[in-house]
Amino acid sequence: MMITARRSGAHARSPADDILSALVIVRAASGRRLAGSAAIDSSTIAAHAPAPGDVELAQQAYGDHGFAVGPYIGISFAISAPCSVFERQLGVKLAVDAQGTVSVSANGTDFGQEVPLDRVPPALRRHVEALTFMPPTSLHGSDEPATMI
Amino acid sequence: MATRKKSVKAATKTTKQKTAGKTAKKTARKSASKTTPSRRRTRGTSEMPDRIFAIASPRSRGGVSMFTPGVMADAETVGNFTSDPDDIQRAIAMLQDAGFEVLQATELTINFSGARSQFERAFNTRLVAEERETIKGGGEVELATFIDSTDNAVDGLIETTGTPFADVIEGIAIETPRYFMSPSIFPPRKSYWHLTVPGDVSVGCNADKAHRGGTTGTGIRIAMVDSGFYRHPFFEARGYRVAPVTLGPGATLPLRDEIGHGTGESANIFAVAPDIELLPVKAANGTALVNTTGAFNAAVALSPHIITNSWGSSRQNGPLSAADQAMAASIAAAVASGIVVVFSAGNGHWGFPGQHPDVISAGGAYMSENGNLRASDYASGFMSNIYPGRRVPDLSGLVGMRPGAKYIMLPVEAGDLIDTDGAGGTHPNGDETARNDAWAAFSGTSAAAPQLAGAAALIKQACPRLTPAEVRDVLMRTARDVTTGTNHPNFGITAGIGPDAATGNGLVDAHRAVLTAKLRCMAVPLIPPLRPIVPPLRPFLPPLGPIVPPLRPFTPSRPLIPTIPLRPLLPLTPAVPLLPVRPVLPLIPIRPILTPILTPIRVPGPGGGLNPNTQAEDAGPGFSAEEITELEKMIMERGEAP
Repeated sequence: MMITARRSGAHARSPADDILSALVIVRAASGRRLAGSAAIDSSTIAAHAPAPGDVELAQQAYGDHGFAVGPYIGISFAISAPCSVFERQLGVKLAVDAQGTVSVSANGTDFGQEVPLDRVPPALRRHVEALTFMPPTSLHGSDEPATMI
Repeated sequence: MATRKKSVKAATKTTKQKTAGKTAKKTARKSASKTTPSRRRTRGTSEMPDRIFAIASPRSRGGVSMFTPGVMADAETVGNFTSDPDDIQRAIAMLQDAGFEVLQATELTINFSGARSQFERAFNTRLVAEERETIKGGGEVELATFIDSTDNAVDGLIETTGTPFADVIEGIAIETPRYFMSPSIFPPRKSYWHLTVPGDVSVGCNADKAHRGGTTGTGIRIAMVDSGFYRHPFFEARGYRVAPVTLGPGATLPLRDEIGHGTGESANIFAVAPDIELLPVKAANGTALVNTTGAFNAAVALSPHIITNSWGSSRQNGPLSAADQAMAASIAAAVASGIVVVFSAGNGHWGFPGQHPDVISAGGAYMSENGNLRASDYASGFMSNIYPGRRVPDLSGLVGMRPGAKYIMLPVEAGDLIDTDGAGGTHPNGDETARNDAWAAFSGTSAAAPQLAGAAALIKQACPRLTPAEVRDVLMRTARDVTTGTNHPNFGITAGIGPDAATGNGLVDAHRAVLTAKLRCMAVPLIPPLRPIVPPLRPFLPPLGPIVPPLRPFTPSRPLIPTIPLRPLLPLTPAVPLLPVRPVLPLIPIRPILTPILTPIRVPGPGGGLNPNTQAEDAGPGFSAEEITELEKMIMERGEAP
């Protein structure tokens, strides 16, 4: 299905107390950037491994800034906090649409789901390759078949 | 109120119907829809209870009564309906003066009770008791007693206009019958062709025979990242093992499944592998999916053997976004650590991560009433543009057909999104169930993924040391070929003889997969063969000197029973440990362990930290690779129908 979300109020909003969650992607020790890299699988993931200690430092930095930190798996870990914490700490405005998709903007510029790292305080961008909310995801049960994208 | 109630007319009408006997009653019940009781469904008058409960709304601060038609109180507007404390106290006093018993008061309402005569006298109205059809616990449509006033058109509302209460109380709501939403452990019977769980899905996946052979998924833990899990009596009654829900980042309410998807689709796992332990991981906040990658990572951290995922995005072309790359990396790390990861291919989507090369990609095959198979036109199937050479799906589970794939009757939380949205209508457009009966017919490749996860669990029980790639290989090699039908119109790929993108290698066959897995496990493992030889040699080491002390009897009687010294002699016949010397070629190349990296990819091994490569002790007696290939061929050529 495309089982779509239904939040109260169909328009994008910025509810300060909503708990939001994003992914922190840790920078690869090899210098390999995600942009331009082939899609990662088990044969290529090693090239994206971080340097020893970077993960812990990044997790600690986000924990110190009021985020709940999830386990590091693959190349990323999750952070969660009220919307207001994200906005305050990352220097961006967030809006959540009816499907729960978070959009990032700053000074009138829309950045999609990714937080521009140049707006993030140095302590939170050190060791970090990208900071991103998840794109829309749908459940694959039945109802309305998906349309071609 | 000038509007005379329709209910009185309706009551007259149904009194006539009553005389038509049982047939008319049955017809009326059948035709009852699943919405709230309406006066059109009034069945007749009834006896008035001695005590009537009601809720008064003191004058609201916002100036509008919560009982005004069309007005809805929600979290944002509820403040408008609160009342001044003085107004509340005045209302309470007036109700008590009129002889009512005030039971409770909040800043919104006053709960009180009284006799019919008190209501009629105080509010200058007339109350009637009516029998109306309504949906009671378990979703059954039955008659219930509703009390109503005759002076306005709003159900159960007593107006205060023209009474001494008018200045302080906006309206009185008469309490309505309510029921425990206790769902039935059995699905509702529907006449259209559909599958039930666990029975039909188990048979369709050819899992029954594996179960009778003793392979039921015991000891295997499957994490399911989805909308949550509701403890429906369906699961409790069958004794299925479900761990408490783990909340993914941003997810809320671990006891609820507001969508119903996770609860329902999980029944597919138990249909194929009834003795697994399910580890639900909720990735939803209300009805919105949140941070699925974070939830997947939380699932990996639970160290399951298998993770099943019935969701994704549509990605026809690269490059992948940072978020998608993070998801791809999490999957790769999980699989590299030995966790089997299953993803649905999509329902017309270019499913991602369903096209990730490390996952088992689940497509759809439809089984008709006579057991014939064809490709589901609801399921995706394609060649990936992102991962060149990657065919999606690998194999298929049971999935319905368009328009709605309402194919498998599954348990959900009463009144959740799927229960209400899919309800009613006529199949295939609706599932013909009630809106809050806690059952719904649905499928999609969302159903296929947990079915394949269940089959993978049986394989892992049969042969724990198989790697994720080997598990996938067993599933694919043993699948039943699907040779007709065309997949989703977005792709339009027709199934033919042999593997294709319509259904992959065909429909999962759990029985054949288990037999094949058992055979492969009989191959003597290549890696740790010498280990068993070491412990028996120890008694011969000089420092131990075990033989000496018993030769010095402290008392005359003891030296004659030297039980311990006899043991060191046993290892002299090392019959079993010598077996591994025989060279054995693995059937499937063992996936190379990740090349050295600077920081290890931290993923706990499946099943609580064990790395599958260390589980070779589970190997059975030796078979040569040639023998196993031969036996596998025999299993496949038997060609048994489900």
